[in-house]
Parts: sequence; structure tokens; C-alpha cells
Amino acid sequence: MLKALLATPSTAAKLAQPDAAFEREIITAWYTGTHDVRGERQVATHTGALKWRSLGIPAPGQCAGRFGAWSQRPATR
Amino acid sequence: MQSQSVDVVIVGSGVCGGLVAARLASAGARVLILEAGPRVKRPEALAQYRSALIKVPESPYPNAPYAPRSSSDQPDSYYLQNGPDKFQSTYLRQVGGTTWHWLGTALRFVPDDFRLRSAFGVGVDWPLTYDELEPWYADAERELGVAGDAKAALDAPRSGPYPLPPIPFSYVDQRVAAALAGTEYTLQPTPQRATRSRIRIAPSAAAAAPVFRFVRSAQNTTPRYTSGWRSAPAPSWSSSEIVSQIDVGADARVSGLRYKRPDGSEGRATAKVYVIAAHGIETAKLLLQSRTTERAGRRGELERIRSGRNLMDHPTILSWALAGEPIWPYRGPLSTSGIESPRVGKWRREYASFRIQTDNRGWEWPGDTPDSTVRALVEQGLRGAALDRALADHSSREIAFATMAEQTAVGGEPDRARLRSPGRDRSSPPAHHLRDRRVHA
Repeated sequence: MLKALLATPSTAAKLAQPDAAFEREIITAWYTGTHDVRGERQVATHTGALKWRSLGIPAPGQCAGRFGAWSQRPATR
Repeated sequence: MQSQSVDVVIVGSGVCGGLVAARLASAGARVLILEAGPRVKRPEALAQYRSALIKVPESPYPNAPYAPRSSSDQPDSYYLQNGPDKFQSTYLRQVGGTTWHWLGTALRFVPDDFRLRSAFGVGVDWPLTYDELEPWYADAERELGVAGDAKAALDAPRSGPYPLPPIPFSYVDQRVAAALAGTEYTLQPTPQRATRSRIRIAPSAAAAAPVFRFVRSAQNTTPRYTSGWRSAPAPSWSSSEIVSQIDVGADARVSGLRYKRPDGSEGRATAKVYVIAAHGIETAKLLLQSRTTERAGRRGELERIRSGRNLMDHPTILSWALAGEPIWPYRGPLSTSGIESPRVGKWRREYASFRIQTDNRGWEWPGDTPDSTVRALVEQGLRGAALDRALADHSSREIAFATMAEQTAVGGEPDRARLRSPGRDRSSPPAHHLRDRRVHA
């Protein structure tokens, strides 16, 4: 996959030299779980976005412990 | 054309239609529910919610072209609006109705709400009193499984306790309540519908918690009348059957309902009793497009019975801030408490009553957090552990309140909602034309 990416001239050019905007884009995508596809923002992952790991809580819509667990601080904090 | 005949036909499968159907079927009536929207399966809704970029209450659900509706993020997509403020309330058209995105908030009106005109000289009085309605509130709370604290005075006298114990305060609520200590404001647990399945499976908490966290879509009444029905015969129900016309006979009584399906086929349902329970917007729309609101007066002139006149919302003001300590939102039901005392007071002669809802979802509404925080911090150059710390510090301290004001009926003023194009072909669903989302303030 990496070879295929590097074979794409635009990607290869981006990877060949430091590109601050591209780096921000990648990190933002990791944390938000969203990315631009042909100019349109799309969700790549809801549960896997790193923002939830930073907060130490599961993504909304997932099990977050026993009933009423929201009364306490998160278990990881 | 398919033709069906029952004792009672109900238009709409939401909370009103569901409760009416349940009660009538228990009494032995043959009941048919006609629902315009599709049937939604829970796993599909969850998948659609996860993949939705903008997570508003309607995100998990289809917007069927044959039964269109508005959306929180696109208030002009269905309504044609010309009032000074946008009408932003939404509802769902699907089996189970808006119970699927209802927060579960089950506050009763207070006695003064029923006598606004006589007590305060504003709005209109209801044709019935709180005391007359109270036993029915209690019945509805039993059917829905409302959780609440009977000791919390909400200025709505109760004939009995809530069916279920109160939902625990969130950590956000506890910190807000502590901060309010010594002021004239008290934070109170919000009476909320709790799914019965949640209670039943509560001991296996791993299964229960995600259901409950997903309250933005979990509160649906469908299973109550589609399966596990206690008495025969259960109500029969349909999906994707869009009632387009109320037929009225020469005796001025309803003679039948006509409906269409997405494939173009049509049907007709007749009954002894007809219940139109299709939400404030769709009920008015159906009455208006059926022209049941028009009749010949004594001298042959056209009289109009007003429908859509008193469309009311709960206009909301959002306030948000950063707390001085972590309060850990983004967990639990979207809201579990509120300040209710401003709903009652002599000052209602001059000002709208209101309540202040504490949110458990940080600045998500309307700040698009935590994503907007991520973007700002990455832009500042934070990376790795520093980014994690800063994101957690900000997100854990986000506090938000939604202040929701009463909107009074308009009395003699022009109708608030009407058909966009009254003479339009009935096969295409006419949208509503909304004006003057007016607040008595």
C-alpha cells in the first residue's frame, strides 16, 4: 500500500518534503476520525477516533460501564 | 384499491398513536395504525449514526422521499419559513415516530399552564384543568416507564410516585448542584422515560449501558405494540402508508381515510373512530390539505376552521462556558437535570416561563466539539501527549445549559402555519409554511 502511495506523484511529492498543512491534516484526521474525500468531509471512524482516547472515555453510543456510571468520574481519571 | 375496515384507525405510530392504540386494543377494539414512514431497525440506525458527519438527533434515521421531514441542521429543507426566527423543532416520520429521537424528558405541565389567560391575561386557557388531566398523566407515565423523584417538587402535584426510581445525576449535575448551593436555584432530576428493557437487563450492565447512552435514538415505543403484546388482538400496523386525504361525508362526519404507498398504489381505511396523531405539523397539514377545515356557512359562504394557528415550540437559548475544574461531560444520557423553578411565578403576566436544562454533552450542541477543539489545538502546534492533555483539559471542563422558553398560543392573530401551496396536487406532500415563531417575552 505504501508503495502504491509513493507511486502516486502527488503523494510522493508531499512525502518527499515537510508539509505543515498536510501534517496537520493527517493528525486532525486521526483525532477526529474524519477526512476529506474530494473536498467533502466524511467519517472514517466514529469509535476509533483518537479524541476519545485522549478523553479516556468510549465514543458515545458505546458501553461506558454499568448503569449510572456517568455519576462518577471516568474510571481512567 | 385495498380497503380495510376496523373499529379504530390511528394515523401516526408515535407516542400519542402508540398509547391510544395500546389502551384501545387492551379494551378489545380492533385497531389499525397507519404510519407514513418506513420501519427502522436499530442496528441500521446505530450504523448510520456512527457514519454521520453532523450528529444531530435525526442523524441515525432515514428521510424518506415519500414522507419527508425537517432536520435540525437544515431548518429550511422542508419548511418554507418567513418568520423573524427559524422554527427549528423537528420530528421523525417512521414506525415509532419521534420517540426514536426524544430525549425522554417527561416533565408535566404545571397547573398555571392550563389557565394562562385567566391567571395572567396572556395566551389562551385550555379547555380542561390540570386536575382533570392528572390521572391521564399518571397512566401515560406508567405506559412509558418514566423515571423520576416524587420528592422533587416540580410544581405539578402527583397522585402517586413515578413508575421507576430517578435516573442518577451525572457528574456534571453533581458539580453544578454543588456550585448552586446557597443560591435561590436548585438543580432537580428530570423525569425521563427509561426503556423497560434497560431496567430488565440492568444486572448485565455491559448490555444495558450502550442502549441507554444512545438515548438520542433509544426511546422508541415500537416494541410495545409490535411484539410482546399482552392481550389479543394486538393492534395491526403498517409502514410507508401515507394518509393523504380525510374523506368527509354529507353528514359532516369522517367517512374514511385514503392513503398512498411509495409504489403508487392506494388504499382506503374505514372505522367507527378516527384518531389523527401525526404530530403538530403533520396533523395540521393533513387537515388542511383534506379541506376538512372548510365548510359552508349558513348563508352558503365558506367558513374556515383554523388549523395550524397555535403552532408552539420551545425557543431555546444556549449558554456555554469552561468550568474551573473537570466535570467530565460526553457521558450518560444527554441531559439528566434542570432548574425548573422559573416555570412558575406571578411574573408570567409579563415574561415567558422557562426552564434551564443542564447538558451532559459538553459544547457538542452547537459547538461541534470535540472536533472543533482538535482543529484549534492542532493549529496551535500541539502534538502527541501535549495534544492529548490539552484536549482532555478543555473537553472535560465544557459546560452548557439550554434555556427553554414557553411560547404562548396566538389567539386572534394570523395562523402560524399553513400549507405552502394550498391547491397543490395531493400526491406531492406539501410542506408547511411557517411564520412568526413568536415568543411571549
